[in-house]
Amino acid sequence: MSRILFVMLHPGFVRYYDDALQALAAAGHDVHVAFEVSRTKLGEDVTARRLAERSPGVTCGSTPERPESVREFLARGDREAIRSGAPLASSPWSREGREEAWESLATTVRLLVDYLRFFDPVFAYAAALRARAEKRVPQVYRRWIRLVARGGAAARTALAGALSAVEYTIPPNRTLEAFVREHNPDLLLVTPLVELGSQQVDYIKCARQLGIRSALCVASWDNLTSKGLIRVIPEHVVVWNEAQKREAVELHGVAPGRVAVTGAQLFDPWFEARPSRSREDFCRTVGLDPGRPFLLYVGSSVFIAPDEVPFADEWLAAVRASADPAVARLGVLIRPHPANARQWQAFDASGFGNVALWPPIGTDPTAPDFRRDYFDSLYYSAGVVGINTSAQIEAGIVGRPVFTVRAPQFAHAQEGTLHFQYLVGGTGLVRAAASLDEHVRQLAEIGGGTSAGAAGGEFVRWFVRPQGIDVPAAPVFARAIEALARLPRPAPRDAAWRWTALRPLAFVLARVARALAEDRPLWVYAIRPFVTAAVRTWALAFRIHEAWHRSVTSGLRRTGRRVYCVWYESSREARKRMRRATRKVAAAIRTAGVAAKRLARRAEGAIGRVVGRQL
Amino acid sequence: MSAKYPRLHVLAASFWREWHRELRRQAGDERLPYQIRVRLRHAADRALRRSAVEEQRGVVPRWNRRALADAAPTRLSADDEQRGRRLAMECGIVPGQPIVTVEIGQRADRLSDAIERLSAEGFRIVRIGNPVAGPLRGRDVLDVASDPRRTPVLDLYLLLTSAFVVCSSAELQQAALIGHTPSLRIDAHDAFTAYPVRRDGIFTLATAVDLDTGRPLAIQELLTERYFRNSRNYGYRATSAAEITAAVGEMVEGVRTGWRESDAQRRFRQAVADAGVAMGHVRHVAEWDGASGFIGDGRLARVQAERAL
Repeated sequence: MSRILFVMLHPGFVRYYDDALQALAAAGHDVHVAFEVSRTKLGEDVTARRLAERSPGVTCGSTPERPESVREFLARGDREAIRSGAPLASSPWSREGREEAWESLATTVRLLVDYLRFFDPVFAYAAALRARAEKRVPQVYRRWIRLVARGGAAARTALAGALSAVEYTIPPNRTLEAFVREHNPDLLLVTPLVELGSQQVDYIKCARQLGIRSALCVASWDNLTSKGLIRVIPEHVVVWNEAQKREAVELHGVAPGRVAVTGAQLFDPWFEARPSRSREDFCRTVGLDPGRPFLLYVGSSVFIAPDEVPFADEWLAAVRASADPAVARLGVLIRPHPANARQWQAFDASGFGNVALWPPIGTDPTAPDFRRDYFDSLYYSAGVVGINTSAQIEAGIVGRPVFTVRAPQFAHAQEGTLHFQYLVGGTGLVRAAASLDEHVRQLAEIGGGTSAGAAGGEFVRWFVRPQGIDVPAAPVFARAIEALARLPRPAPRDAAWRWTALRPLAFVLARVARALAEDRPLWVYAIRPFVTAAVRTWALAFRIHEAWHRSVTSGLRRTGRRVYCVWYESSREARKRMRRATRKVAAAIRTAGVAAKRLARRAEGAIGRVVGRQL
Repeated sequence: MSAKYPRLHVLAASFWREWHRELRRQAGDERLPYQIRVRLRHAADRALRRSAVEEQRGVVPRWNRRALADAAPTRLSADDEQRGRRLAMECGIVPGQPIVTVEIGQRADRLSDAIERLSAEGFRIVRIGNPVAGPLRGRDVLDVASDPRRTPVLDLYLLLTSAFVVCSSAELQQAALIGHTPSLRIDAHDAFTAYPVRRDGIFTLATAVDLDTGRPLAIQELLTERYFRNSRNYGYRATSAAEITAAVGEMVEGVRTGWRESDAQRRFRQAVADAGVAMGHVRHVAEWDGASGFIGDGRLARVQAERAL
């Protein structure tokens, strides 16, 4: 049985591989899932915990902490931040300081490569994706990248090559190496690897160095086209379908023989699911008229639809204004995207009638009923409408007709993304309209039927279950992973001598990258040595002053103590002598008194005798 | 509020901000004596305060409300006017017929009742601007927005010759202002951006909703500093069809019988002017010249003013 180490960016990725990991554990493999960062926004940690509880063969944990995560790198360079001053916790020449510098260089190089890729002609319309990548690059590099990118394909290739060379000079992280060695897996899996500036590249590098087979599992349908590059290519890439295989080969330079097509395992439950209640019950629960068919509007993510509510308003108005009474009277169920639900607080359904927003904003997406309710929404709907979301694929699986409107405000997320073309292209399942008028006319064709038709089925077969519409993808995925884990280990590959030789030079770059990652104006770097020198001089002066103050104070205190001591001792002695003298005087007085008394008595006796004699 | 050299203030604000960050960075060095770090932090805080002051000084109001209120109307040149008239006639506008130009960015269906009302009053409704909000339906509606003959000159000609304009964009409201065309601005997000300078201007406010709680804000809450400090925390519900119809009625009444304001409208203007003076340090208010004490002679639509006060 094999040991598998699966490195995920955060626990949110568990939901993509839930069933497949359980299948692997059930087959007797030891699977350890390690998360780079924790995430609780949508209850992702709960999903991970449940997975570990369900399968004894699966364990979950975290990866070693990095000296500087991508998030910290970006936070340090945030010009808008008020309190982004990074403490100089360690000396730049200490081990920690050196590691921070290497991490800074690695993140910088990866962000630059990711930004550069969006200048490729394939991404000519992807202005929003390019802008998103640009925002993460420190400002000082941006104009240079733009300048080179405008120089044409040759200039871009040369720059990408140079950046790639820098990537190879970066030494593998020792802590990660120890972590991977400790787990000693037969197969190292990573996902998503292509996040902008992703540090998961280091796991692939470590695996190479240790002679461990590695594979990238592509989690979602947009991963290879809307995010960064696979910068260091692992031994294998596991994808959903042929479209993704083409993306991996053409956009990321993966050899076709390294790509395994397994299907979209996360959609398996949708093929098996059955409604949990009757249509009437469902409509009553959500607040729709059970007597009328309804449309399901599925919300999109923040990047796709940052301002979706005004569009939904217009869309609803267009539906209600339809000349076809059957369309105008359709019920409408709005289902916000769980990660983009907040904006729907401003939505007001009261003006339309037979419109409901469900589930309520703030519903826990990890609740057991959440997916069941979602399925019921899809199952009982007459059609599904959305901008660009995987919910449209799910609607296709359930067999509902799916629609979209090409709206100018969402051009960045429709024409501007490659994955949207799969939905609306030749084999796509989504019927796209150029305007709301056309869209409403399309809705009229729903009529009494509620099937996605042949186009939907064909799309699902091609995109979701390429191994056969009746073949669940999770077991295929598990078998593919098992097969990879059984393959003999590759020979350990140390970094080539030329990269090692260039390392001192690269370290200078690393120090520069570390400084520039702060993304400050250049004059700040110019004055920093003087400011630092001034502050340190001040600190030195302060310390000297403190020391002087301390020594003077203590000297005075010592002298004072001595004076007091002398005074105390002498006064004590004086008091003692005084007491003795007093005692002596008192004794003398006492003696004199006694003598005087004695004399007086004698005198009295003598006088008495004289007087007696005379009488 | 206006500075003599605003650019210098902006640079100074940037300098102090960076200086603040640099001092904070130095203060983060744990090897320094505690007292030095504390003093560096205090110095950094002072730098940040100076940055805020300079930033405030660097704000250049986008316009001068008082000057605009007294300015003579801007007209098209004779050539452009002739060209505009010819294009308008080609589009089907009869010279001499009173027109109302309409520009709406969101849900044109809300204007249906208002358009009925305008038609009944004898106006021709001409739609200009971006047609993205969907078709504007009505018997006297002429949709120039989606007409291929549409040019900026035609838009401007129609705007300047119309009895009044109903618009949802600030740009068109301002164009109407400099041409002395009465305007009704709908769906404004705050009073300082949208408050009409001239007496013949009216506006309506969209309903702001707190996205944390889903609570709609009262109109008076839009005049508080809290609202401007965290503007990303609000979503907006468009002005209702009934309020738009009422506001259009008020415009027709103003155009026909003169501009009158209710007590609630007067009090709302005073509330906006007072809030502007009190919030002179808020960048948005300063930018829209809301802090000078003169906010304008226009009005919030009566239907909303009476609800607000």
